[in-house]
Amino acid sequence: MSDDSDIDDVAHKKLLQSIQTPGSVKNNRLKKLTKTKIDASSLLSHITVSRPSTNKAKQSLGIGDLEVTETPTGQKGKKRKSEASGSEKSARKKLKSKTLIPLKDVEARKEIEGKIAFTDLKKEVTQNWTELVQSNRISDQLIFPLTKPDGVMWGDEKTEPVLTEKEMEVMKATDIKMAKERLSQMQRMRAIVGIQEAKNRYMKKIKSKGYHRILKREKRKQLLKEFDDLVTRDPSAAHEKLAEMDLQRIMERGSLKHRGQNQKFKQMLEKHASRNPEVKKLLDEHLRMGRELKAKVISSADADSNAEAPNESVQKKKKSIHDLLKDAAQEADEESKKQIGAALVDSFLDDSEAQKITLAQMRAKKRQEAAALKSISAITGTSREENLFDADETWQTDEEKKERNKKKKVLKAKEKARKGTVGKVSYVDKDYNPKLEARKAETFEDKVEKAVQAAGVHAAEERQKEIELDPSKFLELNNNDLTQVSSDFVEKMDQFDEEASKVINEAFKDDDVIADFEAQKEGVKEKERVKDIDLNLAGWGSWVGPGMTEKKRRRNFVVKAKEKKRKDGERNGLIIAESMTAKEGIGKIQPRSLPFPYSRVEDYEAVLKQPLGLEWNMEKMRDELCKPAVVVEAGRAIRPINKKHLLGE
Amino acid sequence: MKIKVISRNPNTYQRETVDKRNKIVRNFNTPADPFRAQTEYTRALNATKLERVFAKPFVASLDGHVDGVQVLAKHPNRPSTVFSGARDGQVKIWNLASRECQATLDAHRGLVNDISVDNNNGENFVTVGQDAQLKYWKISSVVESQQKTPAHSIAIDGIVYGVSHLSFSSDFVTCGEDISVWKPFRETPLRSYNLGTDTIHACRANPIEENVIVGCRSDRSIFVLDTRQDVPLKKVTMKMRPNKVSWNPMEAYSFTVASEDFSLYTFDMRYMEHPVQSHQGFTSAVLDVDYSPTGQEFVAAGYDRSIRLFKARDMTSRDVYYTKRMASVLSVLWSADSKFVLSGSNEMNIRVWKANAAEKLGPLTKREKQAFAYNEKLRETYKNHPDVRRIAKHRNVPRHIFTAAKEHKLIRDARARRDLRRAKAQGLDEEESYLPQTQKVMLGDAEM
Repeated sequence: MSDDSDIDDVAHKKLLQSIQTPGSVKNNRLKKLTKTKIDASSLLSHITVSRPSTNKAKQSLGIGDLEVTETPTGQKGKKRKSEASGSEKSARKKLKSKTLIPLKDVEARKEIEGKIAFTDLKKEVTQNWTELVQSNRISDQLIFPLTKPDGVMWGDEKTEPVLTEKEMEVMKATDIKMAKERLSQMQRMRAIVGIQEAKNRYMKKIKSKGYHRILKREKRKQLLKEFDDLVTRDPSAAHEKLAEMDLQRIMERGSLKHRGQNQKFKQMLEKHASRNPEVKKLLDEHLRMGRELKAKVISSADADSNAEAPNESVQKKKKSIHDLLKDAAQEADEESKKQIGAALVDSFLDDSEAQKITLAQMRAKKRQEAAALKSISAITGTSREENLFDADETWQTDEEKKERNKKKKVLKAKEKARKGTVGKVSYVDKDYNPKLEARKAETFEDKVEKAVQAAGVHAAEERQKEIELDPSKFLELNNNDLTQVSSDFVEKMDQFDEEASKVINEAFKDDDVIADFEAQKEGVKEKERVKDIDLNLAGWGSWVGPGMTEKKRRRNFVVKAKEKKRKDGERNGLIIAESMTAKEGIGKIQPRSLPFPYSRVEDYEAVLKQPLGLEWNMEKMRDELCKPAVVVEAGRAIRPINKKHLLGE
Repeated sequence: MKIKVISRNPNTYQRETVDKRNKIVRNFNTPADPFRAQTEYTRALNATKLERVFAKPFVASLDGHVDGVQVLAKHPNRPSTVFSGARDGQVKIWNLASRECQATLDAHRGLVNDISVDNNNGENFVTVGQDAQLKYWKISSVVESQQKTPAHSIAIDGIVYGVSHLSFSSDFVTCGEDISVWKPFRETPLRSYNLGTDTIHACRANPIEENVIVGCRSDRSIFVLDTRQDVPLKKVTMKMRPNKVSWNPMEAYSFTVASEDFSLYTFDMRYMEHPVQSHQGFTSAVLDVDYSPTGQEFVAAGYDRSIRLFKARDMTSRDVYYTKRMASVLSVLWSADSKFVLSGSNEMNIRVWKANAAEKLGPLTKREKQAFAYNEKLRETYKNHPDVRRIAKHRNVPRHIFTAAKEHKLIRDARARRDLRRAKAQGLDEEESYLPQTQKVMLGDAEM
């Protein structure tokens, strides 16, 4: 109430004043207005930009001259306010009777101030954050929260029961005491155990023989003492004790300790042999020697014991493969009285040749047998069947045949001379001497012939064998130098070729390469043909049921595909797969242009070439390669970057 | 009896170490696998397909509001606490983990304009409403003792449209007729900035720099304010109205504006003449935007009844979420643990979505983690292969969005043609006349 009366008083005074001086109302109003504008005028003085409008305003306010003194301090933002308030008083006097500042200039001032502040802020922000922001943007992995977590997890939000200080103290005290006690106890225990262990280890490690001898002696003495004691006291027990002692001795004797193996050797084997190859060699040698020595002793002992045994059995052991072969040959000779045995005997002369000859012979024989078997099994057709490869005999005279054989032999010999190889065998010796080899081949060839003929193999079979050779061989025959071959031989060769080609055709009659290729081409064509689009829907647009065949209407819903001309067209033996073009084939699933962050194709390819899976990387590498770009913990709040944490520390 | 046993010399399989570890045999010169690329490509393709198969983003719906959900806010350090304000003035506090409403407050008469939670200790929150009231609530008393009255309430002259707490502080800033900085429990603001006659309908304090505030005015302008200064620092005007603004919590100078012109624009505070990036994809006005706490992505709410997730520096959206019954989305929120996205829509529902649609929730075994990481990396590596891209990018959208997008494309193309034609008439070629979208959206720029 009293306040109200006060206010009334003031108002009343004012009213009285206005009544007493009639012109003062106007003055007062002006005063009030200028009071509010003082700020603007003082701030206007800070405008450094010279503009006609601001200059005019300044002049009108009478602060044009003040500006000169203020400009150096006016630049600083912080001081500006105090400066302004200081200059306020000086300016106030001059303002009293001046007009208002145009609003435009106030706006201009604000704009300029804003601009300056904005550049300051810009600088500050750029300085503080650019580096961090850029590094975060390009980093491979961001793990949130970036600083230590200051949020609460899901479900943890209810605060845990808070203990009073006393409780906390009590808990702490008890905790430490107990912990200390336990710790000291454990330390003691550990010390005792450690000492005992060390002692044991030390005792175990003593290598001195003397020490062990003494130890043993002491033990023995102790035992004897006990024994003596027993003898006087209880003879039966002493007897038992004696038996026990003896048993112990036997046990020890029987254990591996006394096998006589050298301890040093063992150690060397364990320690060094695995690492040092020289030592290993040495030891191996040593072992071998030992084994040999042992073996000799055994064999001599055997010989001694089996002195009366027949000579054969003794020699059996020393027989080589040659001897075995020889024996077998002799036996065979005795048994069959055939020349194969002789051929086998010949094998001593030249090992490889002989073997080959025998091989050839045996094969020929086998084939013969097989043919015979066939003839037996198939009664009627066999004669013709058998002569499948002998068809030439029907139009060849025996003479011709003989001659051909002869020529062939010559040819063969020549070939051998050229190639230095034999029959089916195609390897070339390392120390290959063509001339020598040629001679050898001739003799060898003769031998083969002889042996085969001696073995009673028919010429037909021989031919058959020739025919059954690898077709590539025949091609090589054709490649021979023809100048060296006589003309009539060439005639025969033609016949032979025909024959061979027939045989080859016969052999490969099942695989038709050209037809296969055509089929493949058809397949490709069919696959790449643009197909018609059938827009029919089952059950729509037609009646269904037995006897209903509405093909004509259905045809309306088929969009015909356009015929496409193929590149390979009618050209034979050529497939140009059109699905393999860039647009159709692999290009369909490959990126068509370089994606954004990459500027070179090589870089992008390198990224794609980097294998990511576990099949091509170790697990750690895979984890490193596949680490997620952003890692967040579910239920953990992520707070914005804390400026105080980052810039304060 | 003689027993034959197999014994091996440990030297052959053990390393020469004290602890007798076995040797690891490996070939350091393995020949290159000729089918490596094929195998991994196929795996990438399958991973992409599976990612689409498992993309089921919808998690839950929080219902309880009886009017459109105007605003959503998150607690700074409790990821499961979420605040929502409806158009009828009701404010609800939700627990996301249990999907329960913890408290319901009849906070305002008329709609709740904005909610903001204390950034210092997270104990209090502020609501402002259309009834020109600013209310200050204590979370603990509201949730636990079910107290329905605010701790403090202030009647303000004009309507307050937005409120936002300064970074790591209890102080907050409100916007409406002017911008004011407040301390809690004080009747009057610390400072006020009068920016003119236009209403300031959105403001956000920088989450990192404590003094910087960005806001949008109804004259389609965006301004930056420094609370240490007397005057606003920078003001730029767009061609269409910016609706909401959100700061990138990991970059002190980036913020994104949800615009009325169906797009979002990311600005660099230091260079405001043009946005740095435009984000497109909506077929109607964008009403709200919120950044992921990781700062890598943001989510935006569209009037076209969808929400879209964008990577912070990508032009097109990473994903689009919608449901049949979701009306236009008024507010959107990215949860504090960055795993979920919330949307409050006009039909009274708050929907919870997974931030990554195909992500498996819950604890993962080590092998699962590794497999997911491998698949993710494969998808990332092969994302530019046509097949992979086609599958990864394909989204089935509702018909209205599909047709609108088609129509907008038609319009855009026509405009581009027209511009090109005009440029050619002026003697410019295609290269010279081309202007990116970001250069066309500010007032005073080339005609759109």
